[in-house]
Amino acid sequence: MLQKMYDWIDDRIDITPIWRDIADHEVPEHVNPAHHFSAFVYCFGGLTFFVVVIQILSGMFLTMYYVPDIENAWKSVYYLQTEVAHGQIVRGMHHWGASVVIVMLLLHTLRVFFQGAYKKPRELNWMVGVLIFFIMLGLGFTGYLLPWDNKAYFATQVGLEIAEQVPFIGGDLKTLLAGDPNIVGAQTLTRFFAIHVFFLPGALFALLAVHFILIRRQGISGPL
Amino acid sequence: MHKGKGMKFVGDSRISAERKPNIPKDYSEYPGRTEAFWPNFLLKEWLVGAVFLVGFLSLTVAHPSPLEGMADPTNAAIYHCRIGTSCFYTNY
Ligand code: HEM
Repeated sequence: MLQKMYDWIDDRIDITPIWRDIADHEVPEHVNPAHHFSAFVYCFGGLTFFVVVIQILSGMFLTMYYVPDIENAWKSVYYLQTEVAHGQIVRGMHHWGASVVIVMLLLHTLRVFFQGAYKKPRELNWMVGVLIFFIMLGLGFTGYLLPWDNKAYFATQVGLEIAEQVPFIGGDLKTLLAGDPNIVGAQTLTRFFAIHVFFLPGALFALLAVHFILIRRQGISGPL
Repeated sequence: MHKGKGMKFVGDSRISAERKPNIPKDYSEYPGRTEAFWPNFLLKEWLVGAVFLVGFLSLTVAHPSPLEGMADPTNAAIYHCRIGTSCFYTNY
């Protein structure tokens, strides 16, 4: 039945080459932990991606309850945490995932750095990686404000003051992020929400696509 | 590389006088035990993912994420506590 459906579609639009292109490649011995246990360091990139997927899924469920305005944001998170079935688990996954993803990302970067895997011809992918790193920091910073509790509020104030220290554009940057030169308030929360949920994930998906396409084109770096 | 007796160094450093390019061999130079990604490798890979997921879920279940009192711009008082003391987290 499934085979028939697949064949029906494949017959018309020839989809086999599309997924074959992604699925068919050999995993070399030196990156395969089944052959060399120390090759587990090659898992860190994949695990980073795994946690990113967890973040996206848990985040999608969080937005079912979260209300991005200063009257209700905290209350909606409190309600989710205390009343909604499994709400605590979903928020917990997003909360802890935000830290775990940074840990995995740093382990992955250390692997690439100490193996010299960033060297020619892979310099471009290192640069893409650095951009991804900044996006992840931005996601952490904007996400931290969203529960609108006291710690989030004052941490954001400190973060915005750091942004203000950027030479020349610092003041404008702070206003752009916070919606006001001095107030951390209603505008700040809605802007951070939009940045956290739309702008940065969009940029992240684009960069991850480039990251993975480059890896497939260049192959994984050779053994040491 | 020449090791041990008779090895020539640059000055007294440990850097060999013999220069050679520092470019690793391509892994096609090491033929042999590769494994097909689809489906063989992927079927083992999700085992690692499952172990990781169990660990991660244990963390989330054991430690509910913190939520302090609602933001109050007029109440910065508790943030004068010394960092590392528990009062940093007790504003419920
Ligand atoms: C969300 C963040 C990231 C994800 C999901 C990710 C994912 C991956 C994956 C799956 C690989 C294949 C090899 C492996 O798993 O080790 C890889 C390779 C690579 N990554 Fe990342 N990565 C991320 C961030 C970064 C960062 C921050 C850098 C560096 C600043 C970086 C630089 C590289 C380079 C240079 C390679 C090629 C290494 C080689 O061919 O041996 N990546 N990445």
